[in-house]
Amino acid sequence: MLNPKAGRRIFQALPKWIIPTSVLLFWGFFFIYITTGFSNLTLETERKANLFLTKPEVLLNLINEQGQVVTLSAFAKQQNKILVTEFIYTRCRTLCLTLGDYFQQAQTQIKTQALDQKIHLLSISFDIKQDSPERLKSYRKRMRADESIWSLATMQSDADLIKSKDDLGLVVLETQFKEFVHNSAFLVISNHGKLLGIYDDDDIQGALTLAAKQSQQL
Amino acid sequence: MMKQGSTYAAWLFLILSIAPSLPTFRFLLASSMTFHMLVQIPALIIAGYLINKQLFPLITKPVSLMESLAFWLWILLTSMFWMLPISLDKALINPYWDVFKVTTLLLSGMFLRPAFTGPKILTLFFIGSTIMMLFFIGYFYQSSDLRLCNSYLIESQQTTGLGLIILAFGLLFAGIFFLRKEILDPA
Repeated sequence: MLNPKAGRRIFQALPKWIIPTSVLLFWGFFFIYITTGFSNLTLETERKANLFLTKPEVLLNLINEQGQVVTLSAFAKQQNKILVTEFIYTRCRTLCLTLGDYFQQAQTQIKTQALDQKIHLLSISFDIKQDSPERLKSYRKRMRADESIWSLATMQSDADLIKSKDDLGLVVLETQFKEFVHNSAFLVISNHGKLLGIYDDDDIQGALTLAAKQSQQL
Repeated sequence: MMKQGSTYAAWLFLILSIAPSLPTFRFLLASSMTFHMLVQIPALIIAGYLINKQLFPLITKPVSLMESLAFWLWILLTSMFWMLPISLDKALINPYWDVFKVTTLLLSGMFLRPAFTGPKILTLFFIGSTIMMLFFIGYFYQSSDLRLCNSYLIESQQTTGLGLIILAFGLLFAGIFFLRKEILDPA
């Protein structure tokens, strides 16, 4: 048993500067811990850094424009190309339009550099209720997406959405206006359905560079 | 009678400030960053202050320089920590971080009163730093085009930024008012 009086005597014998120093050490530890050594100030940077380390296999069931169910890895194997992927919903008027613009640029770049047998673009919608194959088709028209380069699909069920939230750190929040708020990134996926890299939503060049590099090994 | 009334008020304040962290009321935190940063976090600090003042007066004696420094450092670092975007996100997603948030903020509220009994120069310095920090982080949140918290909308983030700037000015005026004697006559 600890004698409280003895405890107080030990405490009083300690130099006074111990107290502020231990406060500094305590918070220093937690600042370093939560930001992984001051490198991740937001959850989004932490998510990307972690995915670059773990590079998980992307297991998703998708419904393509023909209404067929296909897993992402089966799609990658069937294409036998490196996939550059983004998560969108077709009604989106803000962020996804920017993502779409980047994919259009990427499409042109893939054509001009004759990489169309090496790299394939894939937009995956998380709007399971609304993005039917018909909607995907009209999105394709709107985006002037070339079928041989750019495919579209919707997640099959809520389980796939949960899986992408858990495994890939996808964030999708529904607002009161039935719109979605979501984070965005370009994912580079191997021809076996394994994640190779994840890039910020303004860094399509980074994603294409990695895809082109990886496609040389095909 | 009066004393009892304020004790009840302190208990009520404590319960109300912790309530949004409970699963039933969590939607309040999830719905808006403004609620999380400008309502719950200040409420927890005030609740901590009231605990020390009304319910369990733990530290009542004036404190030494080093103790006062420790209290102020705790208050400053805690509020800085809970202004990081990643901390807010994690507190919302992970209950352990949320318990950590409630505990550390209640403690910093409890340290406010003893911290003020320390040397006035420390009070001026730390109040000044807190105001500067609030102002800069508020400006950063308000002007950033990036969504810094994954769980919140950008509109909510900008409102929060504006709120933090207003809070910084409010604290500045309150600080000048309450410390007017020390500022005019530091000796």
